[in-house]
This record gives sequence, C-alpha cells and structure tokens, in this order.
Amino acid sequence: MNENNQKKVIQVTNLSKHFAQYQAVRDISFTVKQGEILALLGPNGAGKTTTINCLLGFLKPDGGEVSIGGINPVTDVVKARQQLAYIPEQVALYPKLSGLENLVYMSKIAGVNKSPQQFQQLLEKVNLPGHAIHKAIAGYSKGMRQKVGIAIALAKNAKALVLDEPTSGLDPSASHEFSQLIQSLAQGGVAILMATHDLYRAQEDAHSVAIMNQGQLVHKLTGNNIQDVQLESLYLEHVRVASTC
Amino acid sequence: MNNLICLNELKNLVRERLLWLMVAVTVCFTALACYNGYQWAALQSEVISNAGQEQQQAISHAQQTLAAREALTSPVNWWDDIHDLRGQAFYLMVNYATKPPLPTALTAIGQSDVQPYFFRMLVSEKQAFINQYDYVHPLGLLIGKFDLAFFAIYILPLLLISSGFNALAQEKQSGQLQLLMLQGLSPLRLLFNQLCIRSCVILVPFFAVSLAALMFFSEGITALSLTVFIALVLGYAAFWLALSALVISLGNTSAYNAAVLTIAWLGFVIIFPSVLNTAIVTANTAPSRIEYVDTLRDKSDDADKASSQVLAQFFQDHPELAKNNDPVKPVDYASKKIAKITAIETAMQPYDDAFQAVLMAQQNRVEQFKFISPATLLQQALFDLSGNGLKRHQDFIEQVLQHHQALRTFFQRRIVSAHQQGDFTPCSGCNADITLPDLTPIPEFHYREQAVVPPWSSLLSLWALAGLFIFLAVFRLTKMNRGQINGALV
Amino acid sequence: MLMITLKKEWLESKREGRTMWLGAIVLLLLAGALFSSWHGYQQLQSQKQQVSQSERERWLNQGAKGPHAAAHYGVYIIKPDPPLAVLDPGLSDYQGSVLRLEAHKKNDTLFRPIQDAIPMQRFGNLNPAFIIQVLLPLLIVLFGFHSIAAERESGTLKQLLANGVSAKKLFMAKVASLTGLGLLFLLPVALYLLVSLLLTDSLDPGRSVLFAVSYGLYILLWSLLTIIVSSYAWTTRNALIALLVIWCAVCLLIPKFTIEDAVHRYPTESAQVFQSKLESEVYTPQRQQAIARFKQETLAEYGVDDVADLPFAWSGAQLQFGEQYSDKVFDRLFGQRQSQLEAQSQHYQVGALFSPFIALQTLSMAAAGTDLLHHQLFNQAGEKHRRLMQKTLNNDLKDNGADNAHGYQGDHHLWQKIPAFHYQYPHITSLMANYAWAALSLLQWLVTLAVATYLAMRRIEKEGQQ
Repeated sequence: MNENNQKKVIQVTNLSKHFAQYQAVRDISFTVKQGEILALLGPNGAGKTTTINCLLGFLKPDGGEVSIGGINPVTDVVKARQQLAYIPEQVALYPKLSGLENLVYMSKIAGVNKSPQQFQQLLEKVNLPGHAIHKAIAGYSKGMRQKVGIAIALAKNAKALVLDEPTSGLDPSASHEFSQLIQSLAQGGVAILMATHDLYRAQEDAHSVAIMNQGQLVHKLTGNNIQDVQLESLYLEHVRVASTC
Repeated sequence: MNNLICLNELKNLVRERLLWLMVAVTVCFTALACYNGYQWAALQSEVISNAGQEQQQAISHAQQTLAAREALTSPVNWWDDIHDLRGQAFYLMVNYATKPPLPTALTAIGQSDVQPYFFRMLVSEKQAFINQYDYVHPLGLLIGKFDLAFFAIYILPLLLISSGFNALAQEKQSGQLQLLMLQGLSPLRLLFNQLCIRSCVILVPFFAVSLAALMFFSEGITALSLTVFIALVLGYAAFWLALSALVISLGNTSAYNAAVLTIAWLGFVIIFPSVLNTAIVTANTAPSRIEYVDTLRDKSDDADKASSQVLAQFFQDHPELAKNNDPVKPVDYASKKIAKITAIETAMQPYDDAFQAVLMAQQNRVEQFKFISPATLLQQALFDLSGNGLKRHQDFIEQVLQHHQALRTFFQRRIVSAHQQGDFTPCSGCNADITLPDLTPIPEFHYREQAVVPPWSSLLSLWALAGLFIFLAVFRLTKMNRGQINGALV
Repeated sequence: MLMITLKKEWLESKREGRTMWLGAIVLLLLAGALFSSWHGYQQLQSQKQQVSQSERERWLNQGAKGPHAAAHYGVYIIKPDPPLAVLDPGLSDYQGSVLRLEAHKKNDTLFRPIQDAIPMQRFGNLNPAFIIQVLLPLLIVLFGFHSIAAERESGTLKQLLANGVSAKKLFMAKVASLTGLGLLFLLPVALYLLVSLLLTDSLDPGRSVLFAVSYGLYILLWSLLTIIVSSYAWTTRNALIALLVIWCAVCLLIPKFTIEDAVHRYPTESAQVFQSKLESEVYTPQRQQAIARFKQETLAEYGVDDVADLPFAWSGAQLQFGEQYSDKVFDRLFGQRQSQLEAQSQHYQVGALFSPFIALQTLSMAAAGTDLLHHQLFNQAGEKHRRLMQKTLNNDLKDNGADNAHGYQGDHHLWQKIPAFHYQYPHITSLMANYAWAALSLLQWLVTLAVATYLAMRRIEKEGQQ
C-alpha cells in the first residue's frame, strides 16, 4: 500500500483536555490512516481513555481538534459517530437478547437496514459460533461479545474502529482470533485505533505504535521499526523516564 | 426508530418476565378496586331501595288497617296509632331521605363510608338525626377501602416508579448507553420510549379494566365522566413519569433513583397531604362538639322553661295557625312539642352555622393549597367526580333539612287544626279520631341531583403540574443530550 | 466491633445527605405531631371535664318533675380520653365520645369527629403513632437497604470476611446500629411515656410498658428485616425494591385487605335494617301480651282486681317491666352486632401473622385505649349506668307515685340518688387475652426473623469461604 494514497481517517491535532486541576491530555497529535492499525500504549492514567472519549464525542476538547473522516465530533457528533464504531473493554449488550437480536437492534438504531440473513452472515463472518447466534448474550464470553461488537461495526460500515483494551482478559487463542479479525478489517480499509496494555499484541498487529504517559505522546514508532525494536524496553524506558522527571 | 426502541424494550420486559408480573399486578389490583367500589355502591343502592320499600309498605299498611282502626273500640295510645298525626310525626313515621350513588360512584368511595347517605325522618330537632351514622367497624374507616381512588393515588405511582426508575440508568450503568449513543440514539429519545412502553404496561391494563367496569357496571355513566376520569388519571401518571424522567436525568445510579423517587412519593402522597391537612385544621379549628352538646342542653332547658313564651312566639310566627286558636282551650302536647323543637333549632342555628363556616373555611383552604401535591388534586377531583365528596354531601344535607322543614310544616298545620277541631279528644276517655287516614300526602324526599360539574380546576391544575415537570424533565434531558459532549454520560 | 461499625455507618449515612435530611424531617414531624396532639388532648380533656360537670349540675338542678320525665330528660355522658391517646389516637376520630342515656333507648355514641372533617382528612392525621408505624419503617429501609448489599456490590464484603471479620458480628453490628437509629425516633415518645407516668395518677403502668415494648420490638423487626433482605440481595437496587414492596404490602395493602376480608366475612347490618329491627322487635304484640301477663300476675300476687288497688304505683312497675323487656332485645340485637364487630377485630388481628404493622397497630391502640374494644367497654359501662338510672327512677315512681298518680314529682334528693358517671379504663392485663393474636404474631415475627438472621449469617459466612 502506498502511504501517501491512504486517507487520514482519524486525526488528532494538538489535543488537550483537563478536568479541574488535572491535565489529562496535553497537546497530542497523531493520525490513523485508512487500513492502518495504531496501538496506543501507556500506563493507567496516561490519557488514553480521555483521548478516545474525545474522539467518540463524549468529551469536548479544551484545545486542539479531533476529526473522524474529516468530521469534528464537537460540531457534528451525529455525523462523526456514523463514521466510527467503538468496542470497549467490556462490550455492553442487552443480556436477555440474543447476539443476533442485539446486532439487529443496534444496527437499526444506526439506520442500517439489512435482511435477517445478511445480519446472520455478518455474525458468521466474525466467527461467532453458530450455536450462539440465537442465545442470550448473558451466556456469552468476553470474546464472543467482542465479536458481536465487531459485527455491529461491520454492519455500520464504519470507517474507523476504536478499541479500548480489546485483548485484556482474553485467553491466548481468543486473543489470536481477535487479532486476525481486526487484521482483516484493516485490510478492508478500516482505520483502527487500539488502546492497550498488551505489548505483544501491539507489536504483532499494529502498523504504528504511540506511547503515552502523563497526558503526553512520548514516542511514536511506525512500520517495520515495530518489529525491530524491543518494544517492552522502549515502553519501560519512556514510562520510567517520564515518571522520574 | 421509536417503534424499534419500543419493540426492543418490550422484548426485554418480556424476557425479564417483568411484563407479565406488572400486567398481572395491575389487572388484579384494578379489578379488586373496581369490585370494592361496585360492591359499596350496590350496597348503598340496596339500602336505599329497602328504605323506599319500607316507606311504601308503611303507606299501604296504613291503608289496609284503616278499616280495622275505624272499627276499633278498645283504647289505643296515640303514640302507638299510625293513623294519628302525632304518632306519625313523633314516633311512627317511616320516611327516608336518601342520597343515591352516582353512576361514577365506583371510582372513589370517598367520604361516603363516614357520611350518612340516608336519614330516617321524624318531626324532631335536626340535632337528633343529623349526626346519625351507619355503625361499622371503625378500623375499616380508619384504614379505608381499597378503591380505584386509593389504587390511583397510592399504588399507581409506586408501580410507575418501580417500572421506570432504572430506565436509562440501567443502560448507563451497564454501558449499553454509550454504544447506543455511538449508534446515533439520543438519551432523551431512549428514555422517552422506555417510559412510554413501561407506563403503557401499567396504564393500558388499568384503563382497560377500570373502563370496562365503569361501562358494564355503572348504569348511565356519561362519556364526559369517563373522559374526565381518564384525563385525571393520565395527568397524575404524567406527573409521576415526568418526575421519574427528571430524577433519571440527574444521571445517578438506579438505586439512587429508586430511593429519591420513593422519598418523593412519600412526600407527595403521604407527608404533604397530611401536613397540609393538619395545618388547615389547626389554622381553622372547628368549634368543640363537646361544648355543642352543652349548649344544646342549655338551649333545650331554656325552651322547656320558657314553654309559654316559646308557644307565644310560635303563634306569632305562624299567625295563620293562631287565628282559630281558642285562648281558653289548653294548647295540646304536640303543638307544644313542635314549638319547642322549632325554638331549639332556632337557638342552635348560630352554633350549627359556626361548624358549617369552619368546614367551608377549611375546604376553601384546601382549594387554595391543593396544588402542593398531585395526590391532593387527584383526591379532590376523584371524590367530586364520584359524587362522594364534600360538595354533593352538603347539597344532600341542605335538601334533607328542607325536607325536615317541609315535614314539620305539614304536621304542624294539621296538628294545630286537628286540635282546634277537637279531633284528639272527641270525648273524655275515648280514642282520638283518625287524623291521618292516608299517609300519601306526607311529603316524600327525592334527591334533586345538582348538575354535576366536572372537577375542571383540579384537572387543569393536575395537568399544569404534570406539564411543569414534563418541561423540567425535557429541559434537563435536552441539556443532557447536548451535555453528552461534556462528559455527563461517561 | 460494634462501635467501629456504628462509627462507619454514621459516617456513611452522614454522606448520604438525602436520608439524613429525611430523618431530620421525620423527627421534626414527630415532635410537631406530639406537641399538637398533646395540646389538642389537654384542651379536649378540660372541655370534657367541664361539660361533664355542667351536665351533672343540670341533672341535679333539673327541678321537680315526674321521674319518668326525668328519665326522658336523660343525661349525656362523655368518654374521657386516656393519656396515651396523645401518642395513638387510634379510632378516636371514627367513634363519637358523647353518649345519651335516656328511657327506652340504647343509643350509639354521637359526634364522630370524622363527620365534621374535610375529605382531605382521609390522607390521615399526622400523629405520633402514624409516623412511627408507617413512616419510620420506610426510613429504616432507606437508611439500611444498602448496608450489606453495597458491601457485596463493591466487593468490600469479601475483603472484610477475608480479613477475618466474623459474619455474625458484622451482621449484628449492622442490626444494632440500625435499631439504635430507629430507637432514636422513639425518644420523644419514651419521654412522653415517662412524664405521663409520673404526672398522671390514673395511668396504668402496664399500658406504658406494653406501648414501649411493642414499638421497640417493631423497630427491631424492621431493622432485622432490612439487614436480612440487604444481605440476600445481589445489588442495592434489588434490596431497595424488595424492601419497598414489603413495606407497601405490610403497611398499606395487607391491613386494607384484611379488614375488608373481615368485614366481608362477618358482616354487620346497615343502620337502616338495624334501626327497623330495634323498633319492630321491641314494640311487638308479644310485648303487649307480656305486659298484660305481668299485670295479671301482679294483681294475682297482691290479690287485687285493679292496679289502682296495688300498694304501689303500677305505672312505675310497668315502666320498669317495659325497660327490662326492651333491655333483653337490646342485649340480643346489640350483642349480635358487637359479636360480629369483635369477630372482625379478631380476624383483623390474625392478619398480624402476615403484617407486623397490624400487630403493632393493634397493641398500640390497646395500650392507648383507643380501639374498638375500649370503646365498647365504655358503651357497656354507659348502658349499665342507664339501666341503673331507669331502675332507680322507675322504682321511685313505683314506691312514691301510688298516692299521687298524676302529680308525683321527684326532686333533688331523687336526682342525687343516681351517681355521677365516672369512667375508669380497666387495667390492660385484664384485657390482654383479647390481643393474644397480635402479641403472639409480634413474637412470631421475631422468631421468624431470628431464624432468617441465622440463615443470612451462615450465607455470608459461606460467601467468605468461597
């Protein structure tokens, strides 16, 4: 893929956000292009979730700008949200409804109209076991819920996918399956922003990595560099340096 | 979109088995409330019809026994003689004044369980009968009956609160709200649809059962009454839904919402009304009934002591009766008694008026302050609508007193003239002449229904109050809609 | 342990601003209700005393008149309110307190305050008993619903247990702190009980003890119930909803359904039927025949042919015979009505098995002397007095009217022969058999909740072991 031809889907420019006296995010900038997976690393409290919430339109930035597919969620939250899908650490769905029912409901809310077969195909596409499709979500594992979440994103035809700690709590095989899923999504042209603590997954899956600490973007790696560097030592170095400063 | 949300909400309710539980509870309670109201109205109708029959039987009995009485030679006491004016007037008359229940009676038993709805009339001081009552277990009166009004005022808001307190809050707590909002759904729309569906689950069975009961078991009920009933209960429900929405819009947990809404229920339905009642009664203290008894006794004694004056006054007030009065002939016992009754009633009038004045003052205060709670508004309105409120009872009492007056005048004139003609003592030691061969001329009581004015003011106030809370809730929620960007929901 | 938990609960509830506010409001309402109830009581009692006094004077100074005319003149007697009526007016508003005693008639008490009341009165009067019986449990629920459920929800419960805190102690400490809080609201009431016990000679200490113990137990029951439900619930929300449903059923619905069922099972006749019966069953041809028989027997006994030849005034004897005849009818008809009402009361008490509110309400009104039974006891005393009065007057007429059949008049001496009516409430111990169901039900609740407490504690312990 030629980098220059790829459209920037997620754009964060000089973003700042504070809560009362606490500066959660300071002047950070990054972009995620079509088909790119960006892993946002950082310790707890680094500002990852705040950044995500600004992207999702749940928080209003104090400074700088964010945009999804060229649309600023501050000015047009509805349109901005139409462009993206979000999968939180724990995908919250209606426990008494089945995976399929949840998918249909969530999609229709977003104005997506498909036939029941098409919705079912989506669930099959994300490898949700056939027997689970019609079972209540209450009996789903975390991985299965995430699959439904991804199906919702697929149904919506989202240009951007935002993931918050997607692999924490997943067993290695589920984690692997998940990584394959998002790889295929990226290949389909979706820009993926993944906030995670999982350095291994970041190294494996991401096309670029951004390390955050204390609200700042302290390091950025792209392309083949990720495979070459010892990500863990780099991460620890940045985090430690910042915390001793 | 709205249909979609409602359908999903319904699906959730069905799967949680809550839907059927709520429908069942509402249907059972509403049916029970209707049954109790119907039973009570039917009992009243039965007593009233018995009373009417007894009265008619007395008339025909007098007709049937007239010949025997005419032929009677053995001595008979006038107080045992149904064909004697005096016996009828003071002891034997079967004459009822009754207040039939309205077709809307089953909506609220109201005050009809403590206020008399029938009086057995005699020529006596009104004090002797006006305080009569049906002797039932007083605990039943204290606790009150489970009627539609009770269900609507007390239980309906609880059902609405318990079905709605976790709307939106539940979604927020478990994270679905975030997802839904990312899919483009606004919290206002979600909450609106959730509350609509959940309240329908309660209100639809409530109205279905209560309206069916009203239409099938209340003969002669008008479309206007039904419409007013629906509008009243809907207004009340709208208030509680709006309040729920307002509390939910503050964005706390569902347990918090439940606690706050319960406290609000406690305040609006129990504390405010009883504090208001206590305040009104304290501010407008009724005169003491104990002292009233004292006064009544004094005035009766006065009338007894001044019996000659009382009689003179009586004939002065009734010159038409005085004209044939033979000053030499001693005035008979019956005329004296009626004169005394009149004197006592006249003397007691200011005291009776005082009670009436305080009652009216209290009720006026209620009218002024009933707006502090939707429960007081609904109670006043339902009591009035059912015809078991204060106003209709006052109308009834007024007509009873007029009837009481008419009976007295009827007997007074006839007794005086019978006495003047010597009918009571035709000869020494013999029975009195028949002075009342036929009972049909005795005035009968027919309750004249005043045009029933629907409780417009309460209805309007109820909707105004509901409107205010709806406005507040919508205002908060739209702010929340906009405020989602300010972190109100994450 | 207890002190530590108490302190923690206090700190937590202090932060729960709304409940604190509500508590303060309820306490204020209680104080206000107590004061206004006491003020009203004082006023009413002095009026009752005054009017009773002037009624007595009216009787004594009615002047010379025939004894039977005096019997018709009659007297009004007034039911005094016992001192604890300040705390629980019970049914006072629904039963009159003035009774007219006259010849030939047994009356019901007059002037029920509810008949002079505006419809809003049906929302209930804010009296101390209502506040403690109905509002305080709700307050206990609001204070305590989260106690264990919240610890479970937030995971602190497991942590506490893992750190070796005993489930029993934890549970009991929570119950103790909640009960303590509830008892705080009883303080003004306890103060009144103490003061009235010291200042009123007529107050039966047994009543105060019954009152205090019942209320104390009631608060303990609600505290136990709240903590038990909270310990079983997985979330605070579930705990609150369950407790609210219980409160609503116990304090609002079960009492209503039970009394309605009681009235339905043991129906009384309407006043219209009852009054007609009274008339038609007293003034019957049988009565005329009985009087005629009595006349013949009396004539035969004295060996005379005409009542004028009897050594006493026949009119007095006949009147007394007529009184006794109608008294029997009264005993039967009023007795039937009373036994139906008593059956209703008993049936209602059985409802206490399902609602501790009914148990407390019954015992509270019993202690205060404001229930139907106490009212009936007053009525019986009044009727006894009426019969004594009629007998004295009729016998006087019989003894003294012979020589002066048409003109005999009684005077001050005769009126004085009839004692003034003073009503004294009986000792509660003599009546306790009537309240056995309520008292036993309260104990039954205590035992049931004790068992439930044991089970709840075991459950928490197990949770700690998992």
